[in-house]
Amino acid sequence: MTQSQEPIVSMRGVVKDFPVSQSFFKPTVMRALNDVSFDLYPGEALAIVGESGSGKSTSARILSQIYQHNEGEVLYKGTPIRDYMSEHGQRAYARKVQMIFQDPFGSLNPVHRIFYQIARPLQLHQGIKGRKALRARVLELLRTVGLNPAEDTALKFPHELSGGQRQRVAIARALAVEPDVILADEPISMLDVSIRLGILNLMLDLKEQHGIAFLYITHDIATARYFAERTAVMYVGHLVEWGDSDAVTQNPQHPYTQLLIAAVPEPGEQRNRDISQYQNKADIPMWQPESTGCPFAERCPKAMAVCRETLPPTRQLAEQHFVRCHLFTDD
Amino acid sequence: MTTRSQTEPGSVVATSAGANGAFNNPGRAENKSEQKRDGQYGAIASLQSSAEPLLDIRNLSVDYVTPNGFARAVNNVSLSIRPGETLGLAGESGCGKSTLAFAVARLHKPPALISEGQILYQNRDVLTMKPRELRRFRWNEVSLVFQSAMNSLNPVITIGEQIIDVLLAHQKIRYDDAWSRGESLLKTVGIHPSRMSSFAHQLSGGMRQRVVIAIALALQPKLIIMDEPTTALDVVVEREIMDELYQLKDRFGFSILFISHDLSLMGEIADRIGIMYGGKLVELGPAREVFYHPSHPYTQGLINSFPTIHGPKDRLHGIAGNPINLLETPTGCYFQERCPRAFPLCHQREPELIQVKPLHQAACHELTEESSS
Repeated sequence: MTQSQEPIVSMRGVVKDFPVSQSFFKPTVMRALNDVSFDLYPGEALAIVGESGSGKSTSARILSQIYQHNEGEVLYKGTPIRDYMSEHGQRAYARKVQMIFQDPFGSLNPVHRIFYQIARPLQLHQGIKGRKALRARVLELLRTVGLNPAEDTALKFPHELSGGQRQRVAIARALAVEPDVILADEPISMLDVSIRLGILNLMLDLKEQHGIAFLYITHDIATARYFAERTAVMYVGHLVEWGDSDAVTQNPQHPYTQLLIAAVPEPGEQRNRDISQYQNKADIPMWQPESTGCPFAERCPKAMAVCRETLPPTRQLAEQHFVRCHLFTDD
Repeated sequence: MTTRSQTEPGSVVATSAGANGAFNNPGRAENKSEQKRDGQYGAIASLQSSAEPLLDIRNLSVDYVTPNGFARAVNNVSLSIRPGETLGLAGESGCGKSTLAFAVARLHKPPALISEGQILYQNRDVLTMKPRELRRFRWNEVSLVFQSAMNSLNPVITIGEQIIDVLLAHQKIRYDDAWSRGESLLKTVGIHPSRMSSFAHQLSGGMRQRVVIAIALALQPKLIIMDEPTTALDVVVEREIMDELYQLKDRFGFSILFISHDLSLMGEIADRIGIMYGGKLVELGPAREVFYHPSHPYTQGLINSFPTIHGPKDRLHGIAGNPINLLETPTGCYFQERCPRAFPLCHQREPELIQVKPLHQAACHELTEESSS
C-alpha cells in the first residue's frame, strides 16, 4: 500500500444532519454522520461496511457533494473542497471524483443510446470534439469495461442490455473523465450472483491498471475483504472500527464488528449458530445531536457505565487497525 | 475453510452435530445447547427420511406464453420434499426457481401455464384439485413467504387484522379468539403482542418479515415455501430470523422449500440443495455434498462466485458470460456457452440427471464420459 503518499480525498470530523420533522415547536434532527474521519489514498480501495441506515451512502454522497456536510472538513488533495470548487468550479471537482450507483436500471437515461451516455461526459469534461475522435474514445472505453463487440453495444439502448452490462456502461461513463476517485455505492448488490464477481474483478483491474482509488460502499463484508485493502465498519453514523481488511475481518475487536462477522452465513458452519452472545436485544437507535455515549451501547454485551456517557475516542491497536470502543480506552 | 469432512450420504443432518466442531472458527465460543439441538433435530430428520415424501413434483414444466414464443421457465423438473426436511433451491434470476414455487401452490397466472407434469401433495395432485379443495390446501397445508415483506403486507390495515384474516377465513373461530391467537403468534416470532394494532410502515424490515412468517405459521402448515425471505435484510437481522425460524421448525416440524440465490446461507441451513439453470434441475444432493463436491460445472462456478469471509483470499473467477435466454435455447446442454469444459457432445445432446453418489445427482456429460472411460 502506498500510505506514504498524500491522501487524495479525506474527511475530517464530518457531521451531517437531516431534518426529520420540521415542526416549528419541536424540530427533530437526525444525525446521519457523526465525527467521521477517513483518508483515501491513490490507487487503493477503502470499503465502508454497515447495515442499512448506517450512513455509508451518506458518506459517499458527501464526497461527491450531492449532499453538503454540516460540520467538519472534506479535503481534496489537502484543499477543502468548498475552496477547490469556488476556485476551479464544480465541474472540475466532478471530473476528479465520479460515482457509480446501485441501480444500473435507474442510472442510465433510457431514451439515449449507449454511445451518447458515454460521449456526453467526454464532450463536457474532456472537450473531445469531432465525431471520429469521440467514436474512437467511446469504443475504447467500452472495450476497457469488457463490453465486446463495442461497435454493437454503442448503438444499443439501455433496455437492450442486462443488469451487469448496464453496470459496465455506468463504469465506462465514470472512467470517461479519467477520474482519480470512483465512489461505488453498492455497485453489485442489484446484480445476479454470477455477474457480481465479473464487476468486482473489473473494478480490481481498473484499480491496479489505472491507479484509480475506490470508495466501495457495501453491506457485504465478504466482498469488502475481497475487493478492498482497507475496510471501515460503520454503525449509526459512526465509524467504529477500521484498518487493514484482514485485520478487521479476521481479528475484529469492536463488539459490533464481532456481531457482524458472526452473522455472516458460512457453509460448513452448522445451522442454529446462535449469535445472541454477541448482542443484547435492543432497537437500533436514531442518533440525534443531543445523543451521548457510544451508539452501540444499548446492544453491546460488554457495555459499561461510561459507554452511555461519552463517545469513545479513537484507539490505535496496530499499525493499520483502529477502533472506537471504551474497552480499549486506558485508565 | 480448508477442512472438508466427508459425510455419509443420507445421514447428513445426523452427523452435523459431530462435524460442527471441525468447522468452528478459532475464537468463536462453542455453544453446547446448539449442538444438542442439532443432534435432536438430526435424529428426527433421519427417522423421517424413510417416510413418504410430503411433496412430490414429477416432470413439471411451466411455460410463459410470450409474443415471441414459449419460454419454458421450468423444464421437466422432478423433486420431492420429505416431512421435516429443508430443501434449498438455488440459481440466478430467471432460472425458474420462483416460478416453481408459485406452481406448487398453484398460484401461477397467465401467461404462465403448466404444460406437463404432476405435483403430488400427500398423493393428491394439486393440479387437478377443485376450487374448494384447493382453498383447503392453500395455507392449511402449504404457506408462502415472499422476499419483499413490505409488498406482502397491506399498508392500510393493521397487522393484527392481517394475521387474523387467515384464521377467520380458514377456521370457524370467534373474532376475539382469533385476536388472542394472533397475539400469541406474534409472541412466537419474537414481537410484542401490542404490535397487533401497528401498521406495516411502523415496523422495521426485520419485524415485517417476522409478521409475514407469523402469518405463514398461523394454520400450522406442513410445508412453508420461502422465496428469498431474507434477501432484503441486513445480515444480523437475517441471522436472527433464521435462528428463530429453525427454533419454530423444531417445535412444529414443518418442511421448508427455501429459495434463494445466496448459496452460502443455503449451505448452512438446508438438508438438500437443488441447483437450477435455465429452468432445469442440473444438480441435486445433500447440502454438504453439493457444496464441497459439486459435480456440475455451473454449481462449481456458482460456489466460486462468493468471496468468503475466512477462506483464502485468492482471485475468484465465477462464471463467464450471461444467463441463457429462454426464447433462444440451444440444442444440447443449456450451459454449453458458459461452460469452461464443454466438448462436442454438449452441443448435440441434452444431458440427463445421473447418479453421482447415492442421493446425489447431476446432469452433465462429463460425468457419463468419466464413468464410461
